[in-house]
Amino acid sequence: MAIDATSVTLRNVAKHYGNSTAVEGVDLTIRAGEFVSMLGPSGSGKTTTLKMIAGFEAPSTGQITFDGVDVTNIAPEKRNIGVVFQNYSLFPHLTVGQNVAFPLKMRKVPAAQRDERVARALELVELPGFEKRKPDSLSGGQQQRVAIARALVFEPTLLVMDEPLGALDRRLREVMQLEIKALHDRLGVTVIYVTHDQEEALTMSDRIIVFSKGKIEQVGTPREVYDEPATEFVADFVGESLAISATWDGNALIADTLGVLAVPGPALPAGPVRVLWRPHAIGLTERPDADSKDLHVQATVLTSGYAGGVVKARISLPTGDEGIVSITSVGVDYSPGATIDLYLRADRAIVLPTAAGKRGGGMSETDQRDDTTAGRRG
Amino acid sequence: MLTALVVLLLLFPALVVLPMSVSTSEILTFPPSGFSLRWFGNLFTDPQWTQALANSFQVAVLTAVFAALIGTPAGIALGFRQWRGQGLILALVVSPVIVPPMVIAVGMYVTYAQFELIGFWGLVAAHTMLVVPFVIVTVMSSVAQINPSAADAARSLGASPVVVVGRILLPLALPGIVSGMLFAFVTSWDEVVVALYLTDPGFKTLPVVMWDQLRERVDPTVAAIASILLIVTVLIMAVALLRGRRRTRGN
Repeated sequence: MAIDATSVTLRNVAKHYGNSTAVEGVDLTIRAGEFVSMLGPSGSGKTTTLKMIAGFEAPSTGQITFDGVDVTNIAPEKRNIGVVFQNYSLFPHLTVGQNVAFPLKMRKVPAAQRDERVARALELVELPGFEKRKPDSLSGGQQQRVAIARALVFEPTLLVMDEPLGALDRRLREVMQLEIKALHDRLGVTVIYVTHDQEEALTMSDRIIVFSKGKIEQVGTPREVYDEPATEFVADFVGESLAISATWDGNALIADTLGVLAVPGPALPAGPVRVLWRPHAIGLTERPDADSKDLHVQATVLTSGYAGGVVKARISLPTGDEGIVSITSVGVDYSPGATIDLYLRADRAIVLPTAAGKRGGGMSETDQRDDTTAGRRG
Repeated sequence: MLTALVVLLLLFPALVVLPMSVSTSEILTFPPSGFSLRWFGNLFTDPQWTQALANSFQVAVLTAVFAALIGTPAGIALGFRQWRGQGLILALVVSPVIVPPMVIAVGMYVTYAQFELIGFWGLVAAHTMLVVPFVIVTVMSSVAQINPSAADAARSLGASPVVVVGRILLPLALPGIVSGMLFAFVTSWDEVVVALYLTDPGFKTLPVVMWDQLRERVDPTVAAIASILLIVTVLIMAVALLRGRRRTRGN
């Protein structure tokens, strides 16, 4: 069942609930056949955006188009979108077969064809022959597969998934991630996938849209989002990093007690900045070459804990900054109070402007709706 | 031990009618003497009693049906999603349960008399009002179990709002509707206060005839009919409870 794919465009979309803003100024183009993740913490606006794309919520302002056709005010049942929810949302009074047949019935597909298509959809999610079972006799993972079969059986050209694996345990989640990805590759359908799990977004997506406080922080491939975060929020939320506060005066980066940092200057106006290193740009014991320009910083271990294969240590830098590093090498003393040598690669430093009003301010608590409106019963 | 005593205290007055209804004595006495089913026979031959039985049954059935028609949409609206002002509306629609029946009865008598509604339809209307809260509450608890995103899911799969109600919400609310109707039936079946006001000599329900009989002459037919009321009520409540048990276990 190869499927055509739909492109989706959002133009300056906003959603307000009374005085609070859930989503603001969202401009977005999702290409046909793309696998796009919307990533962000609770209340960042990703679920609200998804609901507007699916038609469950109407934007307060702005326009949504599918393949160039305005669907902003089209009812969800007329959008022909497959939707998968976090809590499966199977109809408990219907059998698995009846659940999967539901969208076909709604489309008045003749009964004979219906059975065949239901059977094929269940095979697709590796649950062949489950037609007669009731949803409550299935495990969480099986129920979500049924939900996926139900969302795909009518061959929609767009599939949206709202934290579909959020209720599953870690091992099953990883298996299902690969299966969903494989389904996407096989069917070619456009997928919009909402998650708060950065690892999930990095593994699965062609592109990631990072949301924070109702706005898009960055859109990019997983590699772009990870290696070239556009904002400090993205750097913090996607992957680990170690950050130092510094001042950029237009010529040099000056970091408190460390003095001038030998790091390529950023294309930024003068002002306070954060200089970040991803874990792969941080050396711990390996002495760099003599001509290395790596920064040598001595950090003090505050606390540390074994995390299976690595030790995670919370450290304090001479600049007063704190951060977490993963220690994989043997022979490093990571007990609290110990000093460890960090070699930070100059050419891998990421320089970002300090987020304005980073702590407090902005849209603060007002946009917590996102995940609470989803349902009081979890 | 104490529990047994309390149970006995609660049940004794109700159970006492059972032996009294099979007494051979001409008047209602306890302990009964002998054994006779003639009072039950009376019940099914004396037109006064048969008419009252038929009246009560019709009123109770219609009451349950109307209560379901009114209470189901209200229960779904109040139970399925949260909205502003929901608490106030809920308090208002269940208020008939809290207001003393005598107050309702007097108010209805005065109002219904104006519109010449005293009699069969007046009593059905009054009983419907009294029992609608039962249906609302049972339907609410039924739909509260439904995942709110089930409706969104159905919409996304191609169902219009009307189809969502018909194919998803109503079937899932059905156990609540049935329990509510059973409660409604039982309540109407043995309601006497409002019925005393809204019936007339040409139309009396069973509890009203019993009330009259107890005041005029005291023969064990009253005990026989009380036994039947008791048994019917217990059976219906048992059905309702068993249904509820099965449902909770199912989940």
